[in-house]
Amino acid sequence: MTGLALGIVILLLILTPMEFRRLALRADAAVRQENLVAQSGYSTAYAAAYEETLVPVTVTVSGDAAAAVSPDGTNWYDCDASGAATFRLAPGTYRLRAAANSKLVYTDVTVPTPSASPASFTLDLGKAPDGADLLLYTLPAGSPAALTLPVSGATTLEAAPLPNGVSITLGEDGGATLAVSPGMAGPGFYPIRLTLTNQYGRTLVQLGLTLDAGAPVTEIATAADLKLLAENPDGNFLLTDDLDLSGADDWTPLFTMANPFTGHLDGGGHEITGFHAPAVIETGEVFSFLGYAQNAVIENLIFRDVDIQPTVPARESGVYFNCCTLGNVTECLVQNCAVVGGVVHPSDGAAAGLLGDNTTVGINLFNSATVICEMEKKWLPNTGGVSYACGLSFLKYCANEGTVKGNHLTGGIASFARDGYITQCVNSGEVSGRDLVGEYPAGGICQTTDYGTVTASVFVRGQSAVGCRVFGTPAVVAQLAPVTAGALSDAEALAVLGTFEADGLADAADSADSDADPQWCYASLDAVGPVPYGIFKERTAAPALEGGKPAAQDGAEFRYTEVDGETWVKAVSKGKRDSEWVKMP
Amino acid sequence: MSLYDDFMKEYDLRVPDYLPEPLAARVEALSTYADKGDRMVYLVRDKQSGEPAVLKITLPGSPDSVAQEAALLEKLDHPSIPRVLYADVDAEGREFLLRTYAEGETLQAMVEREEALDARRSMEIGVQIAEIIAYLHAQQPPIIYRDLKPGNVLRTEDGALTLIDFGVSREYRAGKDFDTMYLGTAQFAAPEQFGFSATDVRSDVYALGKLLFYLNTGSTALPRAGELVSDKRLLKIITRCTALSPEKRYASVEKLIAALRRALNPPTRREYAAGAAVAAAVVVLGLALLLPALRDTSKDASGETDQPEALASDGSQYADEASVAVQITALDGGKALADCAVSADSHHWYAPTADGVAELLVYPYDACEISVAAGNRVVTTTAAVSREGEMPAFTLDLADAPEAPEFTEEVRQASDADLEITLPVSGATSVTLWGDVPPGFDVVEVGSDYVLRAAGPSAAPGHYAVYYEATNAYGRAEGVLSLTVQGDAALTPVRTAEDLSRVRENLGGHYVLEADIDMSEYGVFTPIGTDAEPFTGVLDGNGHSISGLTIEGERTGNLLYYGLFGVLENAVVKDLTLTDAQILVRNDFDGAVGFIAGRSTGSLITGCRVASGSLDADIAMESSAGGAVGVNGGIILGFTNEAPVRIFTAGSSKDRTETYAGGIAGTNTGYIADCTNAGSVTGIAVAGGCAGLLEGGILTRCTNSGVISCPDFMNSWKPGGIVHLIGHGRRVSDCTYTSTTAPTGVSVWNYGTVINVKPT
Repeated sequence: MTGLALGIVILLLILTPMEFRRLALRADAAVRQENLVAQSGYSTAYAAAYEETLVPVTVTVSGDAAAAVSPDGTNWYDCDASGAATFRLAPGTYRLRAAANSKLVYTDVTVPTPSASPASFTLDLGKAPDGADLLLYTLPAGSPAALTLPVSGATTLEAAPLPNGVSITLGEDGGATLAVSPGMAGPGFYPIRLTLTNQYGRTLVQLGLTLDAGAPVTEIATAADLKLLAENPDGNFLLTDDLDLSGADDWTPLFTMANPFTGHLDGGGHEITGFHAPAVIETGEVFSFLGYAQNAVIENLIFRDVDIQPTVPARESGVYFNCCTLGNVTECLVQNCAVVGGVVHPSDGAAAGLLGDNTTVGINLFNSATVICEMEKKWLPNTGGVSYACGLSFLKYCANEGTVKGNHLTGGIASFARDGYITQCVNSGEVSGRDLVGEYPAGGICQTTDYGTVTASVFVRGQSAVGCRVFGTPAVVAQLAPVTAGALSDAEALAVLGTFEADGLADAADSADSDADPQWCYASLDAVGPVPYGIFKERTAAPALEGGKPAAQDGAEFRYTEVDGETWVKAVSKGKRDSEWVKMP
Repeated sequence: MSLYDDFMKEYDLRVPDYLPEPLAARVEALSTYADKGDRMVYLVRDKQSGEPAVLKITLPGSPDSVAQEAALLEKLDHPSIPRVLYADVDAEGREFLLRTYAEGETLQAMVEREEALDARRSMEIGVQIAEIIAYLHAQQPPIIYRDLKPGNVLRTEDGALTLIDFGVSREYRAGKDFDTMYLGTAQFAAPEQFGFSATDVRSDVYALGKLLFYLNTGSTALPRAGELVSDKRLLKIITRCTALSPEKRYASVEKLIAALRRALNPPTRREYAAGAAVAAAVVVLGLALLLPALRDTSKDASGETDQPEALASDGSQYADEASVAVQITALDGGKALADCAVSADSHHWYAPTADGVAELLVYPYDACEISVAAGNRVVTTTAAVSREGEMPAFTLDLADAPEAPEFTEEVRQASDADLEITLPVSGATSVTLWGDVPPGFDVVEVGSDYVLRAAGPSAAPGHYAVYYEATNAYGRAEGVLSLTVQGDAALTPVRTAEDLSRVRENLGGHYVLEADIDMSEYGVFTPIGTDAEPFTGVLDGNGHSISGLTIEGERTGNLLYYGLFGVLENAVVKDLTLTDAQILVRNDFDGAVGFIAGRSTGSLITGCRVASGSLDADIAMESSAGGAVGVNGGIILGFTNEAPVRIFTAGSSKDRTETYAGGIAGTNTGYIADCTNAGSVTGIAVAGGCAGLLEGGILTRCTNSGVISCPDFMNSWKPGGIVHLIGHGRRVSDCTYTSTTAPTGVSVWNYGTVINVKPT
């Protein structure tokens, strides 16, 4: 019941009478399109004959509450509450897969002919190697170190990319140890994708290793101080105040591909406002705040109302101009960062809210800027709410609320996940773009994944056609749930994303909320839906009741709800998490 | 004389004395219901009880059978289904059925009297009828009624219904592919009753949908359902019932009944209603009431409520909600154009209604390609389609596109130093060449004409396939020019296998078969012409055949081109038949194999046939196998293939992901027209009845009856009866294939036009 009032407000905003007119028109068109004759010559005779050959197959999965199964690595089906999924297959031999989050198990099965009884198979995700999906360690740079990784049950192990001087060894007991040689790997962040396998399946573990040199902190309090950042690509920086860059009319990215940022930038939870691109950009291939970063750590930084809409000259084939807010990040850690409002809309090139080309660990990222790529060229740039390209990357606890419009691969979180691992993300922004080869529409999470893993995420129905589709190669797309816009304010409905900050409502419906290390919260003036908890550090003060009404608070507005006949109020403001609910007399 | 006297006089004439004795003693005739000459239906009265009854008689030779109807009715016991009182077949083959009389007026009479029923009443009656049908379907084996129409349902004043006329009903037999003949009433029969496939319970679901539509509108013009049916719930139900594909209909009548009952008693949506109290009461209440209605109907359309299978993990069960409707009106010179194809994405093509109007669902995109295509012309407009605002409407007039004949032939002499041909186009602002452009050929604008030019050596003797595209701001027309430049090569007769082999000694010669050639004793034949030294001459089969041709080859590398010819370049092969041709080849990558040639560039293959034999290719990576040629960049006209074409794997681990098999060509980048394939086509990645992959080419007026065996490409694109995939393609048009040979005719992989491809 917690979010019903907010849900209705959202409905009011979104579902205008025009929306109903549109829905009605669509219903009419659905009727007529179905009655049109497809010109491709669909054979009902063949289809009917083929249909009769299909055998119902029930796959029961144990070892995880929410799994999906696939007979081919392309088409995935969600299991029901009992862990079972039923679909139909032509008789034959299949590699049956079950996946949930980072785990995948498989077995080769033969589906009998239709004359036999329905085929039933079982898979146990518990037999896959064990290991958390994300392990982050900070070690002193330049010193030898050894770690026992909390993984088990593996018989083989792959690690990529493996930095110089780092080795990971699989023990006879199925566990793994990590060793860092002194002086071989320099300071910085190193993501390592571990693929643990055994005879039953595999488990992905994203390892993140920060080798800390203990560099002194350089404080940045003004826009002019950013010069320090540009001059010290491996420095350790902390924003001590909000920055206003509205006067920086000819911003050029601080770092280049040849000289990327490799240090540590801690935004301290501060905001950068007024960040904008020049109206015309003559040179370069990317516009963003940083430009390029490699093996860096960037965290706790919020951009508000970005304006990145440069006109750039037409490029030669294969070269185009990309725009995002933060930059191209290679093998970095980016966490607790947000772009709140604004527009990213280059005249020519790929576009994303936060990250460009991304082979990075991204945690707690949020975008609500509008992201548009209208480029119509033979070479096809991508568009994503959070990132425009996901290579060997890891995105978790990310949310997009911005409108994302693209002309090639387009997704609410990322345009595509080549071999990326995206999990527990949410999209509520409108996502639209080219229906790739007629069958792969723009996706709420990604448009496609080639051989990546996209799991346990939600997207708002109607804002995109699907969550994500597998493009050809065996990949994992599991538990991508469409929800109504109203559900965005319902922590219980979004439980797959993780835990939510308790809101104080003493109601059984809030049992999903937890005070213990929540991963999500609500920030109503900056977002209509959930926000990764790590982004907004401060909570709005709870309303003080005076004469039975909440007393005025600077910059805060009040939200009301009714539960069991009682009225509750909370305060919401920009840049802060919502206050706790307070019961009104 | 009274009317009854008139009737009895006629009755006595029609049924003089052949009524079986028990029947004659039992009834007296009252009136005629129907008399079709060999099938009579009379209202009669039981002489003892005085109860009215219905007497049906069919004479020998009648397509109807009251004996079959009687046999069905005798198994049934339902208050809304007539009971059999007497049934018999006499020695002459005359069939008699006496059944109980049902009171009431037909639903047809009722709708004609009341014009149309409101949605609720339509659905209430629909539930009643569906329950009777459900009873029939519950029999073992199920009984498919097959002739549900308003004239076959009687309704009494108190609302009781009776289903009459079981003349075309049949017991469902699983595995029966086709009904042998069309039975039923055209306006209400499901498409499969016209011979597309076997009827099953979903055929009755279709008829129930049409009956609901009729009750609510008084019309049988189903394409107008969207504008005539105002109740969205009923509209959704009708739409789902009447889907062309049985798979998209309600899987059972029970599920239809459930949907009707849901529509009659919509569930409350607590989550919306609960929130209504919080915000502005009136507006939110409106939302709360409207939203469930829209959401519920979309659920019906998505099949969520009836689909027992697990939901797709990609969340696509609500994909329709993200789509936007666009309306396309097709014109030709300002008049409605129905004989065309329309598309909003250049991938999926549909036939519009008779008034040229199509309303399609697309996903929003800033540059949707709205197209109307007919013949060799396409008009296209690119427009943004968003979720905001009214439904975008587009009117496209095919007459705005340039005009050009699809195919023309020209003959020139090599003695002409330079070559200039004015291309027969009009209305174009530019003309460009596409496909394998012959070296040195170009199109120049001369005044208002577009002239094809080739100077000096560029137009050496040979055949040139010239593909051009005339464009203007509205669209394009595609033209194919078969250009023959004649030289002075002397005719060389070919009478023996040895003569044939000696063709390789002069690859630019002009050869004519003067006898059928038997090569069964020749041994393995080496293909004529290679990639480096292709055949460039003319082989005129002159109506003769080559039998027993055996070709075997293996390459560990690339550039394997095998067939009677390895490679044809600007060559002509015509009027030749191959019988008992055997080809067995292997390679690792980049090869092509066909009975006539491995690869054809710029060449013309016309009037040829492969009457028997087999082609087996263990080929990999970017390799093609076809009945005529492996890779066709030239022109193939009137080719017939009757031999199997197989790409197979002999246990090796080669990369098969880009192998293409086709009855005429594995890969076509040129022009294939008026060809027939009857051989089976087996592929590993891509296989089609006429071509596996259409990569920028045209394939038109072809037929296929060979069975296609191949996995779905990328699990989505099913093997094609004509072409498996169009990749960067131009067009597949006006083709037919036997419906049991492949699941679909053609699929567009990455842009292309599909017009009028049909299963038969």
